[in-house]
Amino acid sequence: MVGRGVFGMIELVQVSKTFNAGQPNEYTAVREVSFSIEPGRVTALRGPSGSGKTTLLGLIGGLTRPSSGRVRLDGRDISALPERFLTELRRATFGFVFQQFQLIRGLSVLENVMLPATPTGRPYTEVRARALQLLADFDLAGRAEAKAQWLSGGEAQRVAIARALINDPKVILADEPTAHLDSVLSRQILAIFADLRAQGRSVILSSHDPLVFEFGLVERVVEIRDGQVTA
Amino acid sequence: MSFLHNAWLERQRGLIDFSVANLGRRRGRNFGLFLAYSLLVFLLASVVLYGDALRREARLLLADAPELVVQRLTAGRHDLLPAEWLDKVTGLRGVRAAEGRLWGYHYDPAAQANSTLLVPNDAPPAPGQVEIGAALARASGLAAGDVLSLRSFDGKPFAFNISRVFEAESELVSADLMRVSATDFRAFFGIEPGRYTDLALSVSNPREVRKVAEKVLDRLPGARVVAREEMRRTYEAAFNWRQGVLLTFLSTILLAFALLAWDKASGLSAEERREIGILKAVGWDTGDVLRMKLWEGALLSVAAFLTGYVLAWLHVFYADAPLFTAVLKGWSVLYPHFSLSPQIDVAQIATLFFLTVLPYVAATIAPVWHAATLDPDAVMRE
Amino acid sequence: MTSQRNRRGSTLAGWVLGMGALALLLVLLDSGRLAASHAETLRQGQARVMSDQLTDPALFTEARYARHASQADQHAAFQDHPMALEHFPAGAMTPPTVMPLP
Repeated sequence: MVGRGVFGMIELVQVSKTFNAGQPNEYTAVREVSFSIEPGRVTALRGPSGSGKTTLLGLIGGLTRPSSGRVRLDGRDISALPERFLTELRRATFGFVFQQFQLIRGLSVLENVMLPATPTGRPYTEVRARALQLLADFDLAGRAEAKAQWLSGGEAQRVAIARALINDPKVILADEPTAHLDSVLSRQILAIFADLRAQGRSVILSSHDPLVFEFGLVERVVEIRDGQVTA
Repeated sequence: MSFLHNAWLERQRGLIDFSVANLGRRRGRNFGLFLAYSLLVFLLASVVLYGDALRREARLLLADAPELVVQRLTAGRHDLLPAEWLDKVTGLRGVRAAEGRLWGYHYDPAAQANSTLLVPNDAPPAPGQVEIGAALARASGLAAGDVLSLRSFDGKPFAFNISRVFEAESELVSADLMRVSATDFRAFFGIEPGRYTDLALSVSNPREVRKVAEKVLDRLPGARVVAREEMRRTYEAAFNWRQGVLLTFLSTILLAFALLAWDKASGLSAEERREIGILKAVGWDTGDVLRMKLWEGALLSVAAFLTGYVLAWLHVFYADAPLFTAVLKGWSVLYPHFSLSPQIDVAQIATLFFLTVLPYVAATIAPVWHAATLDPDAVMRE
Repeated sequence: MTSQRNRRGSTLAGWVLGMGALALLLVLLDSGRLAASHAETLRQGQARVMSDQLTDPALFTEARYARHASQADQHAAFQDHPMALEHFPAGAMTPPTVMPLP
C-alpha cells in the first residue's frame, strides 16, 4: 500500500484556465488560483456549481493543462510535461471518480474496473484478482459480470471508486461524489473515502453537499467562487 | 508461467480483450458489417480465382495447339485453299510438319446450336460415323449408338451413326465437336477434293516461328498466318476483359461497402467519443486507444477476409462457380461442363488482402485519431 | 453468470483467427491436391487438342467468331468495341429472335 504519506504534495501557482480562447464563447473557469494540498489528507473544494471546482480537479489530475500558471506535484511542474507523462500520472498517481461515474456501457463491472490497468501490462490474473478483491471490499462481489448500465447509482459509484483504485494510486480525485446519491448511500461512500485516507492516500473531492462537510471526514476546505479561491 | 509474462504482450492482450468486448457490445451492427465484408471478399476472390484458373487452364490446354495456322483470304474474307498451298509450305525450311485441315460450322435448327465439324488427321472415323462432344450430346439428347440426322448444304438428309461421345474430361475444348471422315465432310458441305479449310503447321524450332511465318507469307502472298502465341493472347485478352467487366460491376459493390464502412467507422458517435475520453482520463494514452481501435478493425476485417476467401475457394473449385457460370454462359446452348484447378499465388492473396483489409482499418483509425488526441477533461465537464 | 467466467476476449480472438488461418492453410494444401487430381483431366484435354489440332476452347459457341476466336477476322474477339460491355453474343443473356423457318 501507499503508506509512506510523504508523496503527493500538490501546489497550484497562479493557475488560470480559459476555455475556447479567442472565440465569442470564451470563458475563464479558473482565475489565478494559488493553494497547496498536503498529502495523505482529505481536502474538499467547496463552492456552488459553476464555480470552477471541476476544472480545478481536472487541472490537479492532469486531465487538462492550465492556460497559465503552474501545477506542481512533489515539486515537479506537471503543467509543462509532455502528454506521455501526463498519461502516466493519470494512470499511476491519480485515481478519478467522475461525477457521472463514466462507466462504459455494455462492458461488465469487472471489465470496467480492470480498464485502467490495461496499458500497464500487469499480468491479467493479478489485475483480475485485485479487481475482484476491490469489488468484494465494496460489497459488489456478486455484480462482477453485470453490465455497467444495469447498476443502481450507489453501485455505479462504488464501481467507479474500485476502478479508480485498480492501479493503486496515491491520490483519489472525486468530483461531487454524493451528487446522485441519497443520504444513506452518501455516508457509505464517505466511509469508503475514510478508509482510503486511513490507507495513507490523499483524497481530493469537490462538493457543495452539506452532508459531506458534516461527516467529519474533510480535514481541509478550499472555498471556490467564480473561479477564485475565497478561503 | 512467469517466463511467459511480458508486459508488452500483456498490454496487447488487454487491448485485444477490450476490442473484442467492443465488437461484442455492438453485436448486430458488427455482425452485419462482417457479413457485408465477407460477401465482398467472397465476390472479389471468386472473380480473381476463377479468372486466373480459367486463363491458366486455357493456356495449358492450348500449349500444344498448332504453332501456325495458315488461312487463305479472298477479298478480305476467309476462303478455302487449294492443295498446292500445302505442297508449297511442306518443303519450307523450319517447318516440321504441315497438314491441311478440314473444319467448319454447322447450325442445327432443331437444337438451335452451333457446332464445329472437323476431320481429324489422326484416326478419323469411318464414313457414316460421327463422334460428338459431350455438350452436343446433352443438348440434342443423343448417345453413342444413336443416329444423328442433319441436312447437308444442298438439303439432302444425312444420317450419321454416333460411334462415340467424347470423354467429359476434354469438354472444355471438345464440347461442340463433330468428328467425321473427310469423305462425309466434303459431301456434307459440298467441298471438292483438293481443297482445305486451312493449314496447320508445326515448327521445328519454337524460336523461329516468326521467321517461318514470314517465309510462308513470302511464298503464299494471299495468306493470313496466325501464330499460336497470338491465339493465346487473344484468349488472355478475352478472359481479362471478361474479368474486367465483372470487376467493374463489383467495384460498385466495393464502393457501396466503402461508403458503409466509412459511415460506420468515421462517424464517431457521441457515445464513442465519450468512451475515448474515459479511456484517456483513466490513463490510456493516444497510442493505446489507436491500437485498441486498430485491433478492432483488424479483427473484424481479417476474420471477414479469411471467411470470404475460403468461401470463394469452395465456390470456384468445389461448386464449379455457379455464380460465374451463369454470367459466362448467358443463353449458350452448348456450354461445356468443366472443372478448374487452382493456381495458388501468394501475390494474389496479398493483393486481395491489402485491397480489402487495409482501407477498412485505415477508415476505422482515421477518425479516432482526432478524438484520441484531445484532452480528456470533457469527461468531467458533462 | 458467475464470476468464475474467465474467458478472455483475446483468447476468443485467437481462436477465431487461428481457425481462419488454419482454413487458409487447408486451402493452400488443398490446391496441391486439386492440381494433382486435375492433372488427368488436363492430360485428356491436351490429348484432344493434339489429335484434332484444336486451337480454341469451346466456351463460346454461339457465333463462329466466338468459338474460334483465333480463326476469325482480325480482332474478331472484339467485334464490338472493347469498351462495349459485352462482346460474346451469349452474354446478352437472351438469344436473338430469329424468323421461324419451316
